[in-house]
Amino acid sequence: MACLYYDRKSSIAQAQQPRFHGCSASRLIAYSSQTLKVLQSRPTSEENHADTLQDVFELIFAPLQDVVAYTGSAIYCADSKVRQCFPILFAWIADHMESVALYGLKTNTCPKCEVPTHELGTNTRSHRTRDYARYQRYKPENQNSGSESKDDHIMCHNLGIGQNIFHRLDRVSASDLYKPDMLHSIYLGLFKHMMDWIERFLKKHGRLEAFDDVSKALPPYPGFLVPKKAYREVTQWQGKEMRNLGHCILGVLAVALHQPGGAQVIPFKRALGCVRVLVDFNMMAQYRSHTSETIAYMEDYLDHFHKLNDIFLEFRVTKRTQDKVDKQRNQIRRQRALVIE
Amino acid sequence: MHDDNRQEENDLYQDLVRGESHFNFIKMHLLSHFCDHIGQFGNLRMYSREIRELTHKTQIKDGWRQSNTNDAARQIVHSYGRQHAIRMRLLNLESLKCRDADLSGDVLHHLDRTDSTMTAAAPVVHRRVLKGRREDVSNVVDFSGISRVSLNIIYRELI
Repeated sequence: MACLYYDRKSSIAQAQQPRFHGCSASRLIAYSSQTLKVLQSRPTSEENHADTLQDVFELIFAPLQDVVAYTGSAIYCADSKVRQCFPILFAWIADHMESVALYGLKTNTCPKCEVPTHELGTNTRSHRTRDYARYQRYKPENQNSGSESKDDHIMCHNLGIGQNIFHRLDRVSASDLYKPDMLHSIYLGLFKHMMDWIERFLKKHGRLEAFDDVSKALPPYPGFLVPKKAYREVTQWQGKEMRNLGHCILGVLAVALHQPGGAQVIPFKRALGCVRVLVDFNMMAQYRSHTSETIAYMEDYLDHFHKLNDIFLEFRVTKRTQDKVDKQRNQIRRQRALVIE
Repeated sequence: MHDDNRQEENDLYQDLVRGESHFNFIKMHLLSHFCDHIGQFGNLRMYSREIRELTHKTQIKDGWRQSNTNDAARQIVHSYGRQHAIRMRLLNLESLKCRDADLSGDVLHHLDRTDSTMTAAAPVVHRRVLKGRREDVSNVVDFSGISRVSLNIIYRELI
């Protein structure tokens, strides 16, 4: 299995082959940081940037296209036989911002299905799969008929500037290239958000000290690295550390929230339930093999999470919502003042 | 009276916050594709990008340090390609030597010399190079001279 790889920060593309005799077989295919940086500094740069990206990837995919479409290629297999193979691109692992750049989408959109932004947090799964070839078919037509309908087209599918770089590949469905990735979507994505909520929750109920103390006092165990610092003292988290945290977070939280006061019983219970469901989902996702039963469990956990998560709703305050809330509150105060006068 | 007011304000604030906040962020949605994916393609693999992120150092940063910072992108690509080609060439010669192929004395001598330096510390240990200092590239140039192959041919054969 060979891997291709693209990095958004440094604008490089690499091909990686299995390691061979201690010689690192990762090969630099293209590196275009300079050109991209120059282009980015100009005002109309984004389209140019997308075009450069497109050109680079066409160059990279060119041999793959020829091989697949016409001849196939003879590949030496591990059992020392030579077989005629037709290699195709199967998966593209990237973090969300990178895949957004590669698929030519807007920031807050799913590369796999056409879910509208305001339904991202709901648990509906019936959205239509993205068909990138169709987007390309409609694009030129709309450009002729006028700018308004083009805008409609772009708006309704949340398309960004540039186009999907995979859509011209033969025998590849671009929306299937996206593969769920535990590191980016769970450890560095969801767990991080979850810790944010938990931290604020503990602060509100005055249990932050207890949480820190317990997480420092964890005993060592095979396969489990004892965290040396409390959660708040660590500034940057790696995937491995987050996974480690997933092992112990539920126990630590349960101890930190023991003996609740009268009004705290219900919120504590709900918060624990919510975290438990997330951790369970994560554990299930790591299974090496699945039956319909385990998949049903996973769906169950997700449903439960969407039912329970309103306990953390008040800690999902972003800067934008804060501004909105402040504005509304000021308005209400002003109205009240008027009424009193 | 004052406390009542404060309580009321607090409640109002909580209500507004609850009304405005939402869970509409992308990581929340991506989870819903997990189950479908398992149904279609089997279990989720634990992908790791560790190796590839680590190669930034050998492929780009070292290349940058070896360049004269003028049109650096081209030099970076060439520099890594060159090292890669040489390393492959060395491995090929090494295996030829193991099969008792007819190699010239110079090549054998050079292989013996590189044996101790290169294969012993096979994945080359990269220490932090101070800015402005260049890695020693003398053995690379030396080698292409000895095997009487120009770098261009090595490129054409191996890359």
